[in-house]
Amino acid sequence: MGIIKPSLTLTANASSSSTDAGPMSMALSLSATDSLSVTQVQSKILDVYGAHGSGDDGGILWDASDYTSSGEAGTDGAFVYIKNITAAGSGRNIMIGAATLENLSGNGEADRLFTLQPQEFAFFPWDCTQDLNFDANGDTTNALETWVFVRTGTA
Amino acid sequence: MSKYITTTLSITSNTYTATSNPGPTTSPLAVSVSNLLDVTEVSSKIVDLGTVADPTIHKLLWDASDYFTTNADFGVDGGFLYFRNLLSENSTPDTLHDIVIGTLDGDMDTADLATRWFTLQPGEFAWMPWDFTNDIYADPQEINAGALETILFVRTTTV
Repeated sequence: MGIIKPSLTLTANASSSSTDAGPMSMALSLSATDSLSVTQVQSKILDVYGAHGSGDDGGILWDASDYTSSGEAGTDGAFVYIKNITAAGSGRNIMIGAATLENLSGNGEADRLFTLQPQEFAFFPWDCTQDLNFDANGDTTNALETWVFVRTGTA
Repeated sequence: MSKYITTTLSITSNTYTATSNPGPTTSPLAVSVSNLLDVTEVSSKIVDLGTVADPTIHKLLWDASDYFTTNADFGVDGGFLYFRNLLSENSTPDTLHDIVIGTLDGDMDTADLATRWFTLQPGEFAWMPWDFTNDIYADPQEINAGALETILFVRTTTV
């Protein structure tokens, strides 16, 4: 067991600012920190591929069955960090989804949780109730960095 | 005209031999990332959860159809979501202040329920994009006022 300390800040200038004007008339400054008890830590950097078709649709980011036999709310789970580490460019979007391996790029695809454009990141708990998968709209090596921190208490 | 927010995330830990807050690894961790995001609409709310009639009733947080008009196209339509459980842990730790986030219009604390995205324990937060491919619900364990803060920033490219 160990402690990790995540910290998130969201800031914006006022909309009247001459540089990086924000979306509101007032400035925004939000900060959240936490202290999380975790056990296992894993990280990896993945290549992504844009091919779609039988057997070609992305890959498993994190397999829930590797971490728990039953995803109980508030007990079993982890914290997941994901970043699209590609530079800006076409064909560099990476889709994160749940359920089965499939083409996640369809309009309104319900199994697509979100899309990470280049340099975008996410940090969220994961209850291990489903696998997390990835898919892309182009071939890029060393494209996706991800970490998982398993909650203490997960069985 | 573009309008921007800056997001910064850090994840740190001490070594596992530290006498205070030992970490989960032999090396200290220091992950730090920052990004400038082009957004338009901002919507923020602090949500009461549960009702007297049904203390564990789920609640719609974000309705995807409120934010786009054509289709939920990857890399085009979407937003960024911030969630934080504003409750404190009870003096004897339990799960009563846990808040489940997911896509089911129903009870989401069943084991292995695939539509449960995650559980926020007291004080925990999440930051993630959202492609408007599902509506998002919160499911509490008991009635609490001011239980959850959530903010949506809509991508400028959303149509």
